Amino acid sequence: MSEKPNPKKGEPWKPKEKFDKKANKEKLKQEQDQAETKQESNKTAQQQQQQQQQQQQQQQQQQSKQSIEQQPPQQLQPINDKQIVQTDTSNKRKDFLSHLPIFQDYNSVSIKTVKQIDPQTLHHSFIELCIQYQNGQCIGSTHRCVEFLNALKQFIKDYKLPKQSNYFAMAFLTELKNIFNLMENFRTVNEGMSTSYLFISECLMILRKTKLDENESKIWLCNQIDQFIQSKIISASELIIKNATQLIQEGTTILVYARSYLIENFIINYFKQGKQLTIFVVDNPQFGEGSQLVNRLLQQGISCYQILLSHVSYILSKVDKILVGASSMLCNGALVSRVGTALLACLASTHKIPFLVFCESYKFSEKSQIDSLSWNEIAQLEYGNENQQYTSLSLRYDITQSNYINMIVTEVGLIPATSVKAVIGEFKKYNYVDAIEVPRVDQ
Amino acid sequence: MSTLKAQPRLYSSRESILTLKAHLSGKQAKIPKNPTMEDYITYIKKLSNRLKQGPLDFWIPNVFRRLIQVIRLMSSEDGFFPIKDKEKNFKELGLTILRKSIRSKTTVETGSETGSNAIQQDVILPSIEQVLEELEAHSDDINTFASTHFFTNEVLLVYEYSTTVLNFLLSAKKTRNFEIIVLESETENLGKQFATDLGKHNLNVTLTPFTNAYAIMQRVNKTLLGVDAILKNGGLLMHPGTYAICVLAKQFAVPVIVLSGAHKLTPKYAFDQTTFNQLVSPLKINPNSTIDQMSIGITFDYVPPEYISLYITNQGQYTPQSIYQLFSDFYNVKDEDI
Repeated sequence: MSEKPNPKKGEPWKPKEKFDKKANKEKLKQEQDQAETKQESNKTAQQQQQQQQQQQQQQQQQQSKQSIEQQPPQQLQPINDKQIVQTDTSNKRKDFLSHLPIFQDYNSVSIKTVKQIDPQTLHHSFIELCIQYQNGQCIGSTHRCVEFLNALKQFIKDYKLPKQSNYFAMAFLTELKNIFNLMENFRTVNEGMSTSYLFISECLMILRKTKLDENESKIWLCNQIDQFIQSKIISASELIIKNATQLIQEGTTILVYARSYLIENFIINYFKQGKQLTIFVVDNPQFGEGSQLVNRLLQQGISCYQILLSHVSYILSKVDKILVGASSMLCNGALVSRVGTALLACLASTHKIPFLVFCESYKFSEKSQIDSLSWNEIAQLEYGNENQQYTSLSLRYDITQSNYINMIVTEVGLIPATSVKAVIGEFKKYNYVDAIEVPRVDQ
Repeated sequence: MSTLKAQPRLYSSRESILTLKAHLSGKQAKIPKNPTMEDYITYIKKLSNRLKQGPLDFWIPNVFRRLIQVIRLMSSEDGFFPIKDKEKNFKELGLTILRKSIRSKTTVETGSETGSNAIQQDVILPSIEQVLEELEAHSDDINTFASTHFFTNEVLLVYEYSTTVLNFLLSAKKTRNFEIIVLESETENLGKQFATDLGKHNLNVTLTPFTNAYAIMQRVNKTLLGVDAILKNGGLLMHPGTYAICVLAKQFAVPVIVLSGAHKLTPKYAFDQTTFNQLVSPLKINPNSTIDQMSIGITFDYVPPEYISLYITNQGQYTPQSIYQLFSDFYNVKDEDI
């Protein structure tokens, strides 16, 4: 849900952005001017980068061991007041994945320098959040989204309107955009997070018309965020679990990959109702999510088998259903999920095992993607040696095609993979979360 | 020594043949006086049963089967060999020369009582030598086909450590440029070892964990696999995870080429994952396993013959549908019950 909604009644009709010729011409001129200035600055920057790369290469060739010691202090360039993160271009891949972003690893030294920056540029709750994203403490699409919204509420409470502007809404919208741009430096933004961003900008549009003062609008906005979490995440998960319980009969054997918030709750709920299941958990030792799920289930008293992805062929003949969580569902019916899911889906289709996806509706996206390499995120969880003669590669996400997916379980119901676009269209009519309540203004 | 460690099958085959040689030369073998060829053969069969390390050990019986076949060929009166390859032809020529020399010796010394020693020295020991030679030179024979299967700037996928594949790639490197992607299994660290060994020879190597196989397969042109055992129906037994790779390769229409020495030919049939398999200790998979949280690990993956495009062995190139012919040349039907 990443496109702008339809215009509301009462406003004069304006042509859509694509077809507005006058505005487009002006925009083109502006963009050309900007591009020219950017090219000039890019050229100088490129020259500098090339010189730096050449210097680094020469150093590597001459003194291989000493250059390793020299390189880390070189990479920590002096930080400007406005620049929070430094883009490290020397780390960029030079092979077929050179288009994918590389995120800077933040060790303890650089964190201190980041925190000393003026807190108005990036609130401390966001910095903590981004570091948690990097460390791997905060993994999983629902978890990341909820933590982000909590950090945002904290930010709203601490936010002070600058004296220049009168309207809270407009100022806050620009702040929100800044936050998102800065957070992109740490990890790619989730689909769920971008949906919540659109929702909040919708709320701010509504706020703009009302004449609430600063404190009341802050309270109203926090309430709206709470409503979003409640309706889109918490009650959605309850509905999904209810829908799924009808699907899965007692005593079936299910296979689960990595850790999904929904599937974990579903299993715990199922066992609380007194029914039994045989559970195989496929582990992902790179991220350690499978063993996390197993530990959590053990705490609830549920025993399960643990297996690795390469050994899965042995038990596939004994498995009845495969359940998988999602990071997002794309418009063409493809599933974006933890890397390795596509492999499991391929094996499931050859063995004719039903492949079910659990996904809330706020993770539905208007994007389309066909293969896993055109957009992805590179996970740098291990520190490789400088001297190693091979390049290591590990991705985070995986695209599973729609013909491998049998059914998606959402709070809206049980839908096939191709109906994602229809569901998005339905939600657009309701501003993503039913109708947003307009705040009362006592005047 | 490091190559021997990574080739446990070859190592065990060689060692078992050398034990046989030691037994025969040290006169510890319990062979009746004036033994015939059949006595030797039964003794070798018994020895293979003793040396076998469990029901899933195929390589020691394989090499003894080959030895018995070579002994039968050497001692047979028929001297007719069908012409197949040039390399094979020269080997057969060598055998005929040897046999002629044997016949000449035995015809001269028929009167003496050195019959048993004659058989032992003139038939068994040369056949042992030949089998050892085949084992050690299998890689060179496979590498003759190295340059015929790749085009320039191709991307190849390999899985876990295989010395055969390593030698193959090094000899192919002389004529073509290509890129290699190494898939690393989660349990053993042989994938990293393979990548470093390849990288030492200035090959363009990328190492990925096993979970990325689907994403990477779009970019791959061919898959090269080593093998643990080739079955008589054309299927193969290999490190767990190979079945998943072959299924993916079929989805993306990527040809799968299997490289192996002929000492891995096993005249047995399998039909699913459980026919020849063994569960591995759970502690290997996850050191924190308990009874409630059991980890499952297996030894082999069975890949049916539909997923494989070509077998390259040191006896020639075969498709899975035609590799049974190699079995009838390489082994004798009478010995399949070892």
